[in-house]
Amino acid sequence: MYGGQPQTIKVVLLGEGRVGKTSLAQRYVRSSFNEGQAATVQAAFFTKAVRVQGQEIEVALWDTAGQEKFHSLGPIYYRDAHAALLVFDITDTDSFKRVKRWVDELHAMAGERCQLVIAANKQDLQHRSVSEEEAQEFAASQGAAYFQTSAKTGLGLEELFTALLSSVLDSLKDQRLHAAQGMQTTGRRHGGLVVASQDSISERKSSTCC
Amino acid sequence: MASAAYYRIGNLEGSGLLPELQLFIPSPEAFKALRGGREACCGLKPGDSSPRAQDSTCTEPCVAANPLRSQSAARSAHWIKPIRTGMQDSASTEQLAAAARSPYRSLLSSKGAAGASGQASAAEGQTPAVDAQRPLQGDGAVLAGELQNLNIRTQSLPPNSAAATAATSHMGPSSAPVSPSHGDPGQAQAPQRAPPGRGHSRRGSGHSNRSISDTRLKKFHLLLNESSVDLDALRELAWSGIPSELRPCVWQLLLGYLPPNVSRREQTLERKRSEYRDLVPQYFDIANSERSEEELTALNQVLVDVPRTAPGVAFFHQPAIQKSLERILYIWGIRHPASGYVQGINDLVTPFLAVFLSAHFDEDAPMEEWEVTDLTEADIIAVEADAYWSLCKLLDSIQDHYTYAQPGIQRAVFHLKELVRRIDDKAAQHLENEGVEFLQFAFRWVNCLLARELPFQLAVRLWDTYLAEGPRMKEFLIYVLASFVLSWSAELSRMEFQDLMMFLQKLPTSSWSERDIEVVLSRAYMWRASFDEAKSHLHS
Repeated sequence: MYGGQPQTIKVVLLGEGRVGKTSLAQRYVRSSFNEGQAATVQAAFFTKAVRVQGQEIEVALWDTAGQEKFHSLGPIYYRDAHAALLVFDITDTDSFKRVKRWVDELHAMAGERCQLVIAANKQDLQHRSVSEEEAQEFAASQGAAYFQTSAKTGLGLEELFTALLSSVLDSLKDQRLHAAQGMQTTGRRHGGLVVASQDSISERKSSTCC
Repeated sequence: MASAAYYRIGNLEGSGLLPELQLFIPSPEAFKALRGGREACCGLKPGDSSPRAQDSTCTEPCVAANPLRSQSAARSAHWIKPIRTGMQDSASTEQLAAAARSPYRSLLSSKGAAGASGQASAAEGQTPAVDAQRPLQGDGAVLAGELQNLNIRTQSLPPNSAAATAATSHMGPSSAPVSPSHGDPGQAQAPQRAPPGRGHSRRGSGHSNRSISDTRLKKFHLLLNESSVDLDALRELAWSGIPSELRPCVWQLLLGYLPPNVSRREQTLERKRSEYRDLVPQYFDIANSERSEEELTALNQVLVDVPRTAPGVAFFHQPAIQKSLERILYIWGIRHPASGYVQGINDLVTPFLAVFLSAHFDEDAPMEEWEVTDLTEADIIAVEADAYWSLCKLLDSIQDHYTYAQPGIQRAVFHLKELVRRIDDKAAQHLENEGVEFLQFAFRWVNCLLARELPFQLAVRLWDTYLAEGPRMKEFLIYVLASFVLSWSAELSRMEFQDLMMFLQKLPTSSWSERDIEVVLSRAYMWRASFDEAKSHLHS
């Protein structure tokens, strides 16, 4: 674990079309924003090297297409993912409903270790139609972390990824510990829960489950 | 659901796909059956002694005259092996560029010239790699190797071989007495001494680009001036690129949108354009309250995609063009309910719009200077109608690329993977070892027919060949994709997963010229010619 290959953490971005998945990935990886980003076909891959908890991390981001049409191949992107970042557009209620459906699908399909993070994107826009309370409540009810983001301004992204990566690292350490102690993990893991608002990041450690 | 002819991709098992979402790919047997027989693209059969086959000025990769193809029945798929082992030498840029113009002739000329010196072995006669732009290892060498092999083979055809007659008629007046030997792997490995004084002529290398395009332009005009255009001949000619001023007309002829018969054209255009004008109020100009939920979803998808279509080409972002795109895409989706509009189809309509609009602007004016406001509403709707029907024609042949779970694309990617494995096992193995799935990068290539991977003008050039291929485009695409990805065979072999994925998603084509795309195409052409009738290439 020390001095070897950097740990690769796989994150998949999911959400309705045009909520800003690619733009979030671009902003995080390249610190850039492109108003005229072409629609993603199928999926795109991004990678970024970061240091979290003193550890070298290679973040592998799979940015998926929003159009339902492409979802039959979704599992090849979100299987094995350490975390799923579910994105909705705060000005589009349909996109929030889509996040709810993604949560259900992931509970059914993704690996148990897959942690859920919800991003309420496009905070730079004024006319929001998804209420903050409703979104936060939903995230909490699903054991998902929640962040307000804006790919355009960069708001919330560093915090989101720092919390997400720390949480994944913690849960990986837990797993190694369990493996080392020869313990069999029983019951369903809900993944480390990270709940944070724009200003404060508080963590509920994964030790509360299993 | 799964029939005996279909099986599941092994490496996706356990991927967590829902049963109904599982991928069904035709088995090699099914694929073989699907491929069936096909005709030569130029309509000529090997040995055709018609005036066209004898036309010694033809610079096109005429299938009938191509010894690779005409003799391929006698060959097994294994012949490619010795070529690959004997490809240490590379071709020069000039050779490849010349090959692009005339895949088999130009190398013959340069090799013929080497042979004429009377001392060089085929390998020695090869110009060393001098390409300043990009290393031609692997891919270039394959092409060079194949051409070299082809040269040997041409010189080895029996004197009475009809194919030899056709082939040499393309090379010039010299007739080459030869003997068949392409089935023998040793032939390719051991460079054959070219007889001194063999006059394979320097005509290929002697031509400047300009004179070639002048000749080509004349040929196009000759064909287009006929009262009924010979579509086979037009396909053959258009395959290697269409002069931009003739592109609107030639594309519409190749698509079958414009009838070959001149006397029927005006009437047909009038009827189709009026038909389209009627579709707009029927489907598009209606209140949202009259649309079904699916139609609303489709409309929203189109409305969010149109502004982000061809982000790099400002012309498409002028309001009138945006509106045209909205109408074309929405109406196409509604009228093709089996697939509906799929993201990426927007990339397929832009070449049609741009090319058909080009007829309304000054020939030399670059697209950036086009102003839609210079056009009348009638002009725009006419172009829009032509683009709509052209899109219909293009997508008719690849409908299964866009139906549920996009089986056509999955199949194409599967075949691509198999083909790459056959051609460059090392590269395929490397991708597999690194955990790169072809679906992860090639899906978009197929979905957008490579339009996303190339600068716009090169996509237009690529369309020339696609449309010239006509009904065979779908099959040829696989070879184009293989040729495309293996353009970077050497680079890919040095990369690990992360770099591979990043590289394959954004290939360095921004500095490409038409010559680069033509090298890709001619290599694809040769691979198809060599694999085509040896259908065993999908079996291990």
